Amino acid sequence: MIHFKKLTVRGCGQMILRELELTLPDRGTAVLLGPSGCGKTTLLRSAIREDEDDPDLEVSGTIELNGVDLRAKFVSPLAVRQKIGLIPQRPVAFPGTTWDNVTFALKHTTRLSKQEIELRARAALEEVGLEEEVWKREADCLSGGQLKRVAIARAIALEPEVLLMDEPSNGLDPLAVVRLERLIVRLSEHRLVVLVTHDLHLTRRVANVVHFLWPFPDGCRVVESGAPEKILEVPARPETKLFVQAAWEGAAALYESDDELEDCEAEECMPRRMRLVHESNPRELLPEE
Amino acid sequence: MKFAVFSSAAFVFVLFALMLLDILVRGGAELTPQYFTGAVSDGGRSGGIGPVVVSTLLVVLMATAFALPLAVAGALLCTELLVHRPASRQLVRRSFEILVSAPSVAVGLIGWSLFGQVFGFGFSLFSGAATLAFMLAPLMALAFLNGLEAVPQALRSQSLALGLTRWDTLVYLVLPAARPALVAGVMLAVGRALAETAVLVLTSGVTTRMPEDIFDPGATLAVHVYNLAHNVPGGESRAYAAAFALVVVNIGVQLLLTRWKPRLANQEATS
Amino acid sequence: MKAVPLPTGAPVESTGRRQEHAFAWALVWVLGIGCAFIAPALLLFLLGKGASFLLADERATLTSLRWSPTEASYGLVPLVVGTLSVALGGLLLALPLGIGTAIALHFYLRGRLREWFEATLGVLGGIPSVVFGLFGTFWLVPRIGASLLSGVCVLAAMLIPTLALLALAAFRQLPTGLVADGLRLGLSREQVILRLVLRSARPALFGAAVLALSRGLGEALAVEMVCGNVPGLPTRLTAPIRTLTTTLVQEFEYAQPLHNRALHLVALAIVLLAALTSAAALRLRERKAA
Repeated sequence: MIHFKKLTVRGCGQMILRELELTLPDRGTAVLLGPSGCGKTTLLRSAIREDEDDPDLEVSGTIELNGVDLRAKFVSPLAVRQKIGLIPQRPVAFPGTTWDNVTFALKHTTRLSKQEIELRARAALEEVGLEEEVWKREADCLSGGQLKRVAIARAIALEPEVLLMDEPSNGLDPLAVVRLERLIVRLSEHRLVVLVTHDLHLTRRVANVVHFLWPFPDGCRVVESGAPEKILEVPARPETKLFVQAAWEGAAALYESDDELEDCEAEECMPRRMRLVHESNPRELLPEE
Repeated sequence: MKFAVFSSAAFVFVLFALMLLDILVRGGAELTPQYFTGAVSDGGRSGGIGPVVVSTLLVVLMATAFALPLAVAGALLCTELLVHRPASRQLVRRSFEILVSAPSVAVGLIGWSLFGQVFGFGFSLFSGAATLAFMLAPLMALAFLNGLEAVPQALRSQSLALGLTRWDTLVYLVLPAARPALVAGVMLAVGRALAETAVLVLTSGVTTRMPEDIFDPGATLAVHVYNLAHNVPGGESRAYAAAFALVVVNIGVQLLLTRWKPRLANQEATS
Repeated sequence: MKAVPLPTGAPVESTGRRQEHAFAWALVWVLGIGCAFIAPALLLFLLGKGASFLLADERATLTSLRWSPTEASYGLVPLVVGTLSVALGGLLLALPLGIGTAIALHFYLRGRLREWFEATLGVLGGIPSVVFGLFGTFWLVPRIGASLLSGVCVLAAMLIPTLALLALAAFRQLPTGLVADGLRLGLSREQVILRLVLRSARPALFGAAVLALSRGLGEALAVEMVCGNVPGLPTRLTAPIRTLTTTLVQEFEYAQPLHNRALHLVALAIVLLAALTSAAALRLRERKAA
């Protein structure tokens, strides 16, 4: 079980996350949903303590993995990263072939023998579905989808208990997304997979639980959590409703004109965050910066 | 206008062509393999430049060897250790830039004072190499810095995310990624070392005896040209021969550089 | 920091290389700071030795017009004047030729031909200065004597490639539509270049000139080979002179202690002059960008 307790993140003078409380299960897929700027990526980075290298970020609070606070001083970040793997949004190819990429961390962070390394690398590559002929190819020459899978393979080769994925379906064509979904389902059978995404289709198909975050003036918070069917079809909170409707129905689901927005003082009338410019030009839906 | 600029350009290129041709004609005839290995005789007016070649190789190799670890450390200081202190980083960079554009005679005098007199090495290949290293280290450090900064930050952070230490990330990922720039930096330094005369005249001397060890004095190729042209009466033809060799080596190094890193080579010429 | 195995399953054995790395990083710190401190250390050395000259009585002679250490006169003035005359003279001679070449290459040549000439210019700029000195010694000096004029010519030859390349860089940074707009308004190509281009590029060209000047101020050997060796004020172009740099080269070896310290002041003066002009050049080039 992962518990995020009172996780507070400040960055560049602004409050990003305020006293976040979140519990994620041992297995399965948890999706973190919400508009950009909500600290979802920062949350992932704090889990592997990447924030410590960034002077602009101040993080406080605890992240407990089975009772041990990962952010405690006496816990080495390297140990944390053996347990929790992060797959970035835009993976960078390490120099060498696909095989070199996948065995890289195994060679440098573990004391496994050559045979064991080979076994693990093979297992990882097969799990992500990369054919053997790709293994010898230079990593620079891979397509975006292939590189994504290499990034996943090099992370799971270390056999972490938790996998964090930052917007995994970003930039993938629908067929590649389907492959990704199947991979996520397979991966989540034995470990916790946490996805940060905007992709509601993906969410609906792979998530076991969805947590929706919304930016408030004093920082982001989780406003609603639950099963995907509930959150995505019949959300309870107005913020969730706005987000979900924007994805499924586009601008037509939202307010018709500025006047309505101005007159409306209820909590539903969202905030300053969304503003329709021209009813006649529904593409101009601007999030307020 | 067109006429004016074209004639000035023509004048410039013709001038250089004539200069180089002059060197080729007057110096080329002397160049035989024996020239490069033969001993110097008659104060350099005849015989080969064997000792000079040896001195040159020793000085250039030693200077580069002294400067390389300093330069690598200097560049790493900026990109890895001072990552979060931009003000200090800028200061260090300034220090490098200042030394790169400093007049080499002044550095030569310091070398003579420090190594030749205070430390008592006198004119020696060692003094020359050490002083030259002072000039080469910042030059290489700047080249290395540019190369290291061009490596995307994501490479580092994604390697760290996989659990590698900062050192391993540096050695096995970042440095290999910056390799072309590192090689170019070293070549830049070697080219500079070969062309540098003022510093060496003041520190390693103008003698053409074969050096027995690194604490003996010795003239490098560039210094030999200077010596023959200026100090040795009747040394004209030999000076041209040595100059020809020098120009060939120099142009060779420059061409190698432009092939590997065109932008870097251009920067050197214009900085 | 000891790695604590997290109680979730068996801990993977990490390679335990933290200890070695501490030493490696410490080495990088030490060597890196050493490298960064080379410049200030050298400067301090010069200052120290030079300042000790200022403690001597002879310091009053620094502003005199005679540099004659054997007679205890250490006047820097003729040396500074010599340095400035050679450098400025060389610059003035090199400027029209260098900028003219750049204009010819940038505005009148295209494609392969232009690239080839630019590349050649780059290579020429890297030729060691002794070669220019050589040429000066055996071709110029027999004809016009070892003098200020010879020094100016040799220095100009050295500065032309650098100036041309810097001017080319300046032209390349001009807004791309400038020439086209000028031509569209009916100006001839010449007028466009003279009035528009040179005007807009003026700060950058100025910066280039000052940078070349700082190079010229620091040049020692090529100048030393052709300048003659008389440390007096140059009265005419064909008079032999001395500069700060040539003085160092010629007198360093047998200087008595006091003379030696004075030479360090001379070196300091060279460094100061070069630094001032480079800093000015940098500011000028940055102003254009701003």
